[in-house]
Amino acid sequence: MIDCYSSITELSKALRKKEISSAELTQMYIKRLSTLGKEYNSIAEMTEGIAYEQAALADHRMEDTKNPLNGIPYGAKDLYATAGIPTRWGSPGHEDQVFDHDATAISKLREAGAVLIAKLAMIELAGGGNYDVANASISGPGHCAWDKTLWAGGSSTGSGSATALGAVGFSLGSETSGSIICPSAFNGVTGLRPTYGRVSRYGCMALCWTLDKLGPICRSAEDCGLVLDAISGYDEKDPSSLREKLNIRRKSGKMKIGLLKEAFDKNKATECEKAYHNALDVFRKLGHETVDIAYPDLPYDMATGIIVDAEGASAHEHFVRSDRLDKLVDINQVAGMAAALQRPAVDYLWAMRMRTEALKANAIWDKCDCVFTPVFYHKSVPIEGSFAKSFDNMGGASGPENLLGWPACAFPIGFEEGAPLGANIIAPCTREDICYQLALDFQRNSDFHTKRPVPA
Amino acid sequence: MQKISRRDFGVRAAGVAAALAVPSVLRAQAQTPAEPDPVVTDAEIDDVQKKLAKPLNEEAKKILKADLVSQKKDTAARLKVKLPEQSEPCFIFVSTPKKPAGKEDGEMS
Repeated sequence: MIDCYSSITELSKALRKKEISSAELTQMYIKRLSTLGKEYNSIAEMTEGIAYEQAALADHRMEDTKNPLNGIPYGAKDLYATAGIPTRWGSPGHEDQVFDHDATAISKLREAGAVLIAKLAMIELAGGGNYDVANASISGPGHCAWDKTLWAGGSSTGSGSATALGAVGFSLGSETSGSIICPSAFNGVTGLRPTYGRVSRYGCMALCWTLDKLGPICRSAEDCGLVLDAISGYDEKDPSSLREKLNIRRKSGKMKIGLLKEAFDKNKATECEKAYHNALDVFRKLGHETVDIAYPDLPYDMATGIIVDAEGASAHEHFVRSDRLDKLVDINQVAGMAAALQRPAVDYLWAMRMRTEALKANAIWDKCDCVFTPVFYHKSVPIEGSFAKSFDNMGGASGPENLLGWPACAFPIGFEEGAPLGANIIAPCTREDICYQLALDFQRNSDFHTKRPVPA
Repeated sequence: MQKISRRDFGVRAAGVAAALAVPSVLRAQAQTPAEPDPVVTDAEIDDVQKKLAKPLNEEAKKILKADLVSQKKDTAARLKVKLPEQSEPCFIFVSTPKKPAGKEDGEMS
């Protein structure tokens, strides 16, 4: 018997056996999203009209296709262009924006038969101007699916919460620097940030051409694999897209897992430390080995910050210079976007040279197949107040992962005071299969990904 | 797609294990007496405002000033990170030769 939390495979089987139609499934998720999703500020725009048309088409062609996504309702972060449907990029300064074309990922999902039921809430302009509050969105502050007093994470806010609430079959998010893995960790769902270039960026808001990645946020690693299969691939409309074919189910056998020096004590992260070691026990029982590693000592975060400033200022220059800038909700975003116009070219070029130096970090792959590390040391932060204060002791990535385009899969490994704790498996470029296999291994031997938020 | 304020990097980096990529040069700086903040003048604030369609309000101007201070700190910090003389930015321009009419890729003239 399926329910709103069923996996894509289970939903697909039920559709094929005609236990339920895509139209009925669509109605179920639309009802749930328009009530619970609304309550948690997960929605940017409902797309019922197109959803029922796509569901009818999916039902019609059910016997003619083997695609597991045929008939499955989903939501996309509101930075994916969707023809004729508002795409506001989370920004009140773009409230009238409607494109006449679909992003490539949206087109691919339509071809696969998936049903778009909503555009999902996000931080305005994906946070490019230095957001400092949860309310930095036209959709309001995104509530964590597990605790409404906590933040759902960003910038793929609604993709994280709606997926955790069982209000979509799956969702799409995007990441420049943390925006898939952060909401995945805070909402206890599974997010796969692919290798840079794995999914075409065509039709998606650019914050940073050389860092932006698009990927799935789902309730399991298995689901992420099915969605990534559908949306990945070379696209002549995106010159950075990879020609190498994804082989997510490649078998690699026993892995050597790299472990960084973690700072649990310093950050008073008792629950996270326990969850981390329990997860390592699971991996070791499955025959995987662990080895201590360290990244080369380089200023990755500073380089990333400079690159985001410079490319973001260029991508959004007309908006920043327009009288719509002060429509942004968070005043930190207004000032930050303006300040980014001043970023010197020599800073940017230094950061890109630093990025060349950072390639030395690829040497860690001689010692291990992947890295396992907590996404943050604690559960999500309070939805009220300044992040500059609340992110104290949270830890978080300070490595080269995003700078070097490495893929990662974030998934739940435990709880702290009733809210999820997440960790991620990070792998070398083009080896999403390693992230996938280990996350799958973990989820087949634990049940954190099957736990559901209380209000649901 | 950023998860939190980049101004917060310093705060967060301080809270994370030193092994997590806090640059040695920055760590060294942190151990020495704090350097005074770089100065951002009113003229620099005005310069930014001239690029905008509307003037910023006082609160936004304060944040802008802090952001510009932060940018100058970045510049000062990065100048202390020695990059190899021969290093190039991690993007390259690839010349695209004009294909002779009627020739396919790889076909010799």
